[in-house]
Amino acid sequence: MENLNSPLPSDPQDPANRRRARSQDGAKGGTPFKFGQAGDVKEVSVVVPPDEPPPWQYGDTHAVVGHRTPRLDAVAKVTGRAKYAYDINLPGMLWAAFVRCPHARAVVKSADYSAALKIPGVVAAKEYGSKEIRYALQHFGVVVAETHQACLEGVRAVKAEFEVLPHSARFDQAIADQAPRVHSERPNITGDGFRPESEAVVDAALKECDAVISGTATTEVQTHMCLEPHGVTARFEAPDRATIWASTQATFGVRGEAARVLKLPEANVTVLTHFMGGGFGSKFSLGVAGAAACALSKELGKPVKLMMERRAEHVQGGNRPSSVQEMTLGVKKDGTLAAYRVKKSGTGGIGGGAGASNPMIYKFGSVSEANFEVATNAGAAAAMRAPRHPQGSFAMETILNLAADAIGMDPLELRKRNDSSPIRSRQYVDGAKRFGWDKRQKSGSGKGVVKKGMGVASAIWYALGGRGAQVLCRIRKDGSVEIRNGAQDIGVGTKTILAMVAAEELGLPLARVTPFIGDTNDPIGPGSGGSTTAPTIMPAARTAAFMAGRSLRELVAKKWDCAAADLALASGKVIHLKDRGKSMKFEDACAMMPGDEITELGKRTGNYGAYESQTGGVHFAEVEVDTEDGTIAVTRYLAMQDAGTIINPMTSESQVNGAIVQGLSYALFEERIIDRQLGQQVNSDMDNYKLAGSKDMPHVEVILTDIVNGANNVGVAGLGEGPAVPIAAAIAGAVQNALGFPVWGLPMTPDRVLAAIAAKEKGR
Amino acid sequence: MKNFDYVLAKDAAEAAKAAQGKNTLLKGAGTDLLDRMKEGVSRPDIVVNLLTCTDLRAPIREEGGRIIMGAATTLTEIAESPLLQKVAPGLAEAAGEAATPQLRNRGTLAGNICQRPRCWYFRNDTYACSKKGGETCYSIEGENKFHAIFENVSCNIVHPSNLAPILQALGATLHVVSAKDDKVTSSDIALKDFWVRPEEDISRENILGPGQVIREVSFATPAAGTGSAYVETREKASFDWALTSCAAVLRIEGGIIVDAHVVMSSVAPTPLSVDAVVAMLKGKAPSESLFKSAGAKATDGATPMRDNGYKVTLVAVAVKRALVSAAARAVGGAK
Amino acid sequence: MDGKKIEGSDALSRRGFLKSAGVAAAATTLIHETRKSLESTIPSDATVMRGESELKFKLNGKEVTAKVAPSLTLLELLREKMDLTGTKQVCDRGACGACTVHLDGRTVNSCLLLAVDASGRNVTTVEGLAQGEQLHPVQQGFVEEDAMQCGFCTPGMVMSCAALLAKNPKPTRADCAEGISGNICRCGTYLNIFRAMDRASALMKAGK
Repeated sequence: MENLNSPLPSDPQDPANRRRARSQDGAKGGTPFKFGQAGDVKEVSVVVPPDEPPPWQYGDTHAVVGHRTPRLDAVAKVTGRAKYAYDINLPGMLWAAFVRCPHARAVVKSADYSAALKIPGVVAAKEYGSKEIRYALQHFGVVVAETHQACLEGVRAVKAEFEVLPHSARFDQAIADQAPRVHSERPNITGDGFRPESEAVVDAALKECDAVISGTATTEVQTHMCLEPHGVTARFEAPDRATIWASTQATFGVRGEAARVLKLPEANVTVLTHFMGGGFGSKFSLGVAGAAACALSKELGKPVKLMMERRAEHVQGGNRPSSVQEMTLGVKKDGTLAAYRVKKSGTGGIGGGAGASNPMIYKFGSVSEANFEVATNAGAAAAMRAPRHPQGSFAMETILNLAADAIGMDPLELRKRNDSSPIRSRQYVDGAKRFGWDKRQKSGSGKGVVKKGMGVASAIWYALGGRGAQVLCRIRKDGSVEIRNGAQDIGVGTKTILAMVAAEELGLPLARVTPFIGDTNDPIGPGSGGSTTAPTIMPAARTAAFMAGRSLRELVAKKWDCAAADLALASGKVIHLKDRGKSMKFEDACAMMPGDEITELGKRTGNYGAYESQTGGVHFAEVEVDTEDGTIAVTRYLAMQDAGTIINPMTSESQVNGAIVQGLSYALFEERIIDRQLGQQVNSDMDNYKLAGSKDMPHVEVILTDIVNGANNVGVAGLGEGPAVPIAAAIAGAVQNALGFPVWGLPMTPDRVLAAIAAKEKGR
Repeated sequence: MKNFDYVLAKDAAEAAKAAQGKNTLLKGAGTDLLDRMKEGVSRPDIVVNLLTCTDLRAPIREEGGRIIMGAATTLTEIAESPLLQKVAPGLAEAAGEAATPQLRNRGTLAGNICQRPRCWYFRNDTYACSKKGGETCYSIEGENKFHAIFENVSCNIVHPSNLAPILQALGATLHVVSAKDDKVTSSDIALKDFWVRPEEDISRENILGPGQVIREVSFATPAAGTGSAYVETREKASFDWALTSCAAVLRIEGGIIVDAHVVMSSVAPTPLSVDAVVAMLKGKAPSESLFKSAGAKATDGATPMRDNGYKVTLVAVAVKRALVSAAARAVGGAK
Repeated sequence: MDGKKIEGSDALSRRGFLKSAGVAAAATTLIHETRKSLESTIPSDATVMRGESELKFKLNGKEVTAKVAPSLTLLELLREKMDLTGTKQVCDRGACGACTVHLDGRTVNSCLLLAVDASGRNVTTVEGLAQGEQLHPVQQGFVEEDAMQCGFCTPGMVMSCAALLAKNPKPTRADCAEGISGNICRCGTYLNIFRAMDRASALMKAGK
């Protein structure tokens, strides 16, 4: 029997993993449990931490968990009752907006706010922020007014003079000789070149290969384009309190930042995020808009709303950095990926953060890497669903497809041979069968104007959650149950699964449990990043419900003169396990409470270890490429995706669907276009910045892998990132299969597709 | 938006009179005007509402051998009109492919023809471009992926209207009401003569001046054996601006093309009638290869810029596809 | 619509104004102030709005009045003056559909509609779709098929779908895709919206 009580290999990017590694110390011996997937179930021993229920194991059946459940706030969303930060209207509330600079690099010489102040309704107009402009649409002033309209007119009325300086707003400008420096203290290009010792090894290994393939992949900057912009409605409540309605994916982080801006203790600041309109990694911080609203509310003594306007949202709302990835891959006839050289660069604007996860997932022999960051006078990047991964996946999977063609091997077979994950190993086989991979034609063999193709690519993620959450479960004398965590539901259904886990543990129908999220007066929860929200909160939720249920069982045990361990909570009753037929309604048990309520706080402990520490997925795409007009239609898509225990298949599938739609949009349409003259993003809107729409949708199937991970008492893994990794790569693989050659640049717009076709024809 | 005085005109004559003033703009649905006003590109003191003009709302009808449409007919009404679907399917299809359901429900025929260009430099008030009275056309050195590949000399906008090319191919006429002080007159303008090239007057796209209002649009009912089509190429299948587009009207008798009108758009500051293509089509039997050659011919004289060479390929595709579709309808409709 | 008088047109909104201002349409003088002082060519008997005036229209089945300036959009009126925040502001340029409402039963972008142009018209917002607690079939379909994630596009999607279903009770997937092609969802819920529409269509047929 394998003991899984050992530290997990961790993704260095994930702080939760660092904590988790420490939490394993001292765990020895334990009770055996079954974890794994069909055909590969392992019995492992686990020490169950005190006050925690034993883990769900393979083969367990559940009454609530695992059943398709409409999200509990669905009615609020479809009726318009759901109130987002943008929707908060308070008595006396003021509207604020930034005054912005149209130049990518400039110094604000002077700004005249007098005309703005003359507009009826404008209450303040003044400098705010730096006078040194480093990207277009950076703010340098703020206008506050009684109405939204007056506020926007006020912004327009501000007259400013700029000393315009030469800029490097675009990647191509920043890497040019003599390019103006973005950061005065360092060159625009920074990073590490190839290490000579790795180069020597790769050079030698390449000589041993049967085929050597080279290519350069490029990806463009993608902006988050959350539908609800960044910002808050802030209300300073004199003398020493504040409430912040924030569009955030980290309520507690925002509370800390707001407290510092307001110079208040965190205890005096409440952050509320009952609903939020999309974050995708870009809403961890109070942000410039939030900080300004807080400060202005305190200064002016009134509630202030500052939500960024759409153009600024493209620029200050974060983005996924671009990439250029130059690759040389050596492969042997048996599919061994013997030698790999990859040079990567990209831009994350003034903030940095470029990079591409390439190589990853597969077994590569000798690898030599060089990584460069290019600073540009453009808005700062932010984490975006699986940072670095879609870029890396697109480039790496594309060159793998060429390698497969070069040695005459099916690209799926090449992946199987180089992948050690037991999860993906099964997904390759099951997925190929379900998708009809055997009908895939030889690359480039299609006739006619419209060519069909199929592609495959792999998903990975690293996070099984960790410490950082507490959940409160309260059972009241009337039999009602509440479950509370102060973190946010960013649209993935956290609120619903919180209640599902509690209902499961308490043996109640879901309707009997009321969940509360998004209020920092409730127990602490994580920021929604790195796919850690569900796996961090849910084990604590289960523990809290377990503890509250145990207290209830103890009450009944006292009355029935038995041990609490002899009693179970199921079907809305307290059931005697040894005396069948003896039971009590849950609410009757609650009525026996001496006080008004049972309140328990469940804490997230460290992970036990797991069947697999990484989640896996294999995605298949089918496309039709119109070789005349250069358009690509994705016709079918299949995602085989693992996320550990699936608490709610319905919302989980939605999340994977969402990853696919976003990935498709990234693959085919999205591109930030920066003007080389003033340095502004010229398509900072929602029509020329192109987002996939309803008519661009393929037929999609999502198959969630049946797996019990055993990392903790719930075993759920996040779905934010994993399924977002391989989509562009799978689509690009299908395009390559259709055409017989790759389109090396994302997005694969008609200009790029036609250029690839023309280049190929010229080469013939 | 800046505040303005809002004139609820009761008819075209009143609207025309009101529209003679300084800094006065006409508004149909306002879907384009409000967009520009929010961007600060247009800041009128007076806005004249045309949707309150009852005579602009005259229904789509056939009268005296002509199809007549009120200027304020919505794109949805055009797309869904059984009459137009029958006699000019290319027009119904152009309206149905425009923008979004919401915008089609609101947007009007005249508004679609008179909408301002979508150039991202023109639509951004912080760029003092030549169309807005500045010194520079920023698209010459700048980002010109979506800009003109023909007649791109001083201002490289492309004409954004879906309806203009097909109406021009159908030989449409605009019925215009003009006011001079208190005097009101009516006149007819052929759509092909309606456009103003940037070299003539960079500040506008058509000849409509102050005090002029389009009241109706009409075209001769297409003869039997006529087929019409509108085809555009774009990046997205969902709401997107055309990369290139083409409207074609063909009349086929006895298996021979006897009349042809081909108008390209989204490729030049105005819709472009392609006479050279018309000449090569007339008297020939329709075929895919003929239409492919016609598409190639249509690109003669193209002057693509740094980032829009692909549009040359794409306009040939649009021309070919429009001709194929129009020919199929001409033959199908001739039975 | 061929050959028929079009009902629910903006011409009604003019009459609505005249009526609400208590003046006869035929001999209208200025509603708000005399034009003499202004340098303009507006005919002296034309109807002109200047500054704020009272707007009357039907909102979710009820007659409402509001004081509005001509430059105020319907979206701003709803969200900022009436606290009806179900209708969302996203692109504010008619490109995303988040602000979709029904104007006399047809979908429009309320961000590109002047509030005064709703005078005398019938406006339905997402708040007005359900009958009390009884959800509209489209809303019910959205709930049952999880046709939402963050929910910010959802009200606009629901309004587009409801209008489509009213016109076409059994839409195909292609009809649905066209029907919501003016609505952008960033979370990627389109696929479940198609399913929700199937569900809604079935619910409507069953008379629910």
